[in-house]
Amino acid sequence: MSNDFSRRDFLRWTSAGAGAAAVGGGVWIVGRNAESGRVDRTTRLDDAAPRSTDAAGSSEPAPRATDELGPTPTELPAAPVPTGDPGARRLVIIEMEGGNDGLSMVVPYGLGRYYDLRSRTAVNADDVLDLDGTFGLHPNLSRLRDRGGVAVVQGVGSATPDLSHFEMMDRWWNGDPDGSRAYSAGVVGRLADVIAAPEAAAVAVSLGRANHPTLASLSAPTLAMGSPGGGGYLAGADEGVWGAYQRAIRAFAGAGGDGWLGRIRGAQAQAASFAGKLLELETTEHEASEGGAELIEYPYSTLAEGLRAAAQLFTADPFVRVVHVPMGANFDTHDDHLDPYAQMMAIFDEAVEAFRRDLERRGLADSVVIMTTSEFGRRIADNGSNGLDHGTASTALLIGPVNNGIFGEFPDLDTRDDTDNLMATTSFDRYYASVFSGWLGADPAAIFNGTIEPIPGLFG
Amino acid sequence: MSASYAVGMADEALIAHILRRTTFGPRPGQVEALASLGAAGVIEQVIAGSPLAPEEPQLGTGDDYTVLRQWWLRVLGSLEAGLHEKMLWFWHGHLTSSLDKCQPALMLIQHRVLRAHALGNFRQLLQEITTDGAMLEWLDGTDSHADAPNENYARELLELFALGVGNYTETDVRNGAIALSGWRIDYENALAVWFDEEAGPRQPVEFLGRTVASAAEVIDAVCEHPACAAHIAGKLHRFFVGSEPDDGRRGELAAVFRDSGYEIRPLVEAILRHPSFLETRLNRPRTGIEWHFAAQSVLDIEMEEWRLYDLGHVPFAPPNVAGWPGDDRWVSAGAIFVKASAALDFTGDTPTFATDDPVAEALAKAGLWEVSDETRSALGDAAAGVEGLRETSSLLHALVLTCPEFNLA
Repeated sequence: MSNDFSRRDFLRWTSAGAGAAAVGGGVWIVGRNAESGRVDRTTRLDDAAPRSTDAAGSSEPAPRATDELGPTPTELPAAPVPTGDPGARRLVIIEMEGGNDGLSMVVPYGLGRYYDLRSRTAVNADDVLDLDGTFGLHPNLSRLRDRGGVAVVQGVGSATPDLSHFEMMDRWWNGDPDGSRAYSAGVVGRLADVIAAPEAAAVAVSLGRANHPTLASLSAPTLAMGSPGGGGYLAGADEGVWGAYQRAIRAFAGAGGDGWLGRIRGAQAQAASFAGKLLELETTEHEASEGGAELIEYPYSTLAEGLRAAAQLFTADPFVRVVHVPMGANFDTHDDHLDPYAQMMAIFDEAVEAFRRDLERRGLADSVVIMTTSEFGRRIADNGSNGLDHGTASTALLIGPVNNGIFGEFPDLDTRDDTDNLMATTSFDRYYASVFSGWLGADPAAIFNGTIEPIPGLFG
Repeated sequence: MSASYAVGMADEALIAHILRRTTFGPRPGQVEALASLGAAGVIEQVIAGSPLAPEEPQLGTGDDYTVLRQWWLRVLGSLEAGLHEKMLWFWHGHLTSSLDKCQPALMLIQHRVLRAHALGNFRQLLQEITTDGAMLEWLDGTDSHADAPNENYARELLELFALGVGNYTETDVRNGAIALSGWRIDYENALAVWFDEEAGPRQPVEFLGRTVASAAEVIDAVCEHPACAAHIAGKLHRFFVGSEPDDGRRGELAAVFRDSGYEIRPLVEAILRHPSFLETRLNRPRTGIEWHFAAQSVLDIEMEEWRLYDLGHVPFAPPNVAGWPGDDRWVSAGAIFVKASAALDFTGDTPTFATDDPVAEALAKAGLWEVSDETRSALGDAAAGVEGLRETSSLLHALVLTCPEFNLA
């Protein structure tokens, strides 16, 4: 498989074509080179670098003898009480590109059938972090378990699934479970249209690449950018070529007008204004640290970089309501599922923990909810190469000021569709709608076709 | 055939427009070099241009995904890339397939088909693409059996590739899928496509008001459907002229296409030779790839491929079956960030202008022969605000790539 790496590498960049490229591809370190004054974007840190995998991974699964439920459901710590100000509520969408195996993230370790079907890729029952006697979190999600504020949503997917990354990413980005192509804007863009404040420079921001389709809106300003560190190009320089360049782009933008020239000037104004905010927050953070404030240390990963930027954006700009953070990992575990998956869970757990500590420090713990997405889950039974092929329904997590618990119906492991895959019990537009309405107060009818009844009990 | 052109407009502005639309330029100096031909002459020269015949990349020697992409990027970036290469890009965004789903060797085979027929016969192109290996994988033809037809290709053929919504029924989709079924790729034998009679249609089906029993008959029915010529003519009109044709013009172009037996070249020539082609300029954004090559030739450098990823316009990787969407995305605020970084990252390496009017020199180098007063005065103010010709030159190189007009085609 000499092509395997490049294939994956490519997927991480352009992913399912539309540039699930959000997929990032490692962390880009952006910084001003002191000597040349140029911004270098040359250092790429690979998320795949070795890191601790805690208890999970290579050990052989040890099936439980029976399907009996554990007697005492584990109590997770309660989440912070959500802020009562709906306009102050924010959402982070963490996208797990490649197809996240829900059965490994929230393990049905109490079901012997799970171990029957997965002879080589099951997570060892002894290591699972119990939730209710039947389900437990992946062993590498211990920080999540310890902090609490975790709502598990089971069986999220499409009633008419497709097994193509590109097709399903496209559907998720558009909030369009059946691939109806009924929407002319992305699902986050449509949400932004509904919740936008008139003053906003950007209601929703995507970190990972420019032009992310999920942020395409009809009217609200949204901003998809390659990396959070690009502010210095468009703001902050007073002197020399860069200073003159930035004054000139503000002059271009200031001319206004209509037609395409006017629209481009508007986009330039938006970009310059947002660059100013990005820079401002860098300065603020710097001064805070100089002033002795203890900044939270984040681990090294694309996800951590994105979450740090999200925390900073939420602090700097009250009008940013949604940040979309592609995880920059590869959940497409066709072969050797267990170890890479355990690493990705550790990356997730470390980054989310740092983010939540940071939110606490910033006084935002009660106002930010994280939702996870992924284009699909994986096949129930493992394949011949210790991996899992493309699947359908998967499990999603809501983290933050949410009610602890397991929501939605777990799909029956033996009731499968014609591709031998799980049947979704919660359509993913319902998952989106539940968060958009329950957390951000947006009317689902303004964002989705048809009538959607939100999942009860997730919030408040 | 001749045409009258906008009166009073300098030839340079019209020539720059022609090159923006029909090539990946203009390159510095190109407009001036062609000025003596006049706009009409340049259109004829563009039309008469020879297709490139680049040596194919060697696959199987390393990272095929990268080798393939970078190979075409080099071809697209060459000075000689003209109308044929631009049409090849058009078809790649119309009859899509992607490395996301198809291996590089299949994409290269498909690329040959598109290259061979980019200005050739549409019916032939559609016939070949229908049984092309990459397309069979991309739209699931390889899984399609007449007893359990996969409708993916049949639907996109009717909806996107040839007719447009409203010109067919769900029965046409279903029956088309039956008639198109049975094509397979032999992965053990050079990815050859073959027809498996066991999986193919057993009897003729009703399709678009005819009876068809094979992929070839499906394509004949599609091409001869009244909506087909207008559908393709309309899309090519948007590509070159930047706007929808009105009904009358659409009808004229459809007739040209139909009467020629679906030859692409006469249709393109009719669009380019019509006065409307020159009358509407700067009325659509430059796409990511158009901006990329125009900018890199102004800077005289080779930009890194990741900048195209950030802009979302990577060869062999259209985002979905409908190709690259809409115009707005190329000038979104996010795209402005990406372009600003490209403009500024190379300012240290730009040549120094020689004349005492560096603003005019920079605009000419960027092929900007019609700019707004606002842009001109912003450039003048900027140039006056830095010391020395070296800094002025660096600044102006970055600014001409950033000004609103350079973002338009």
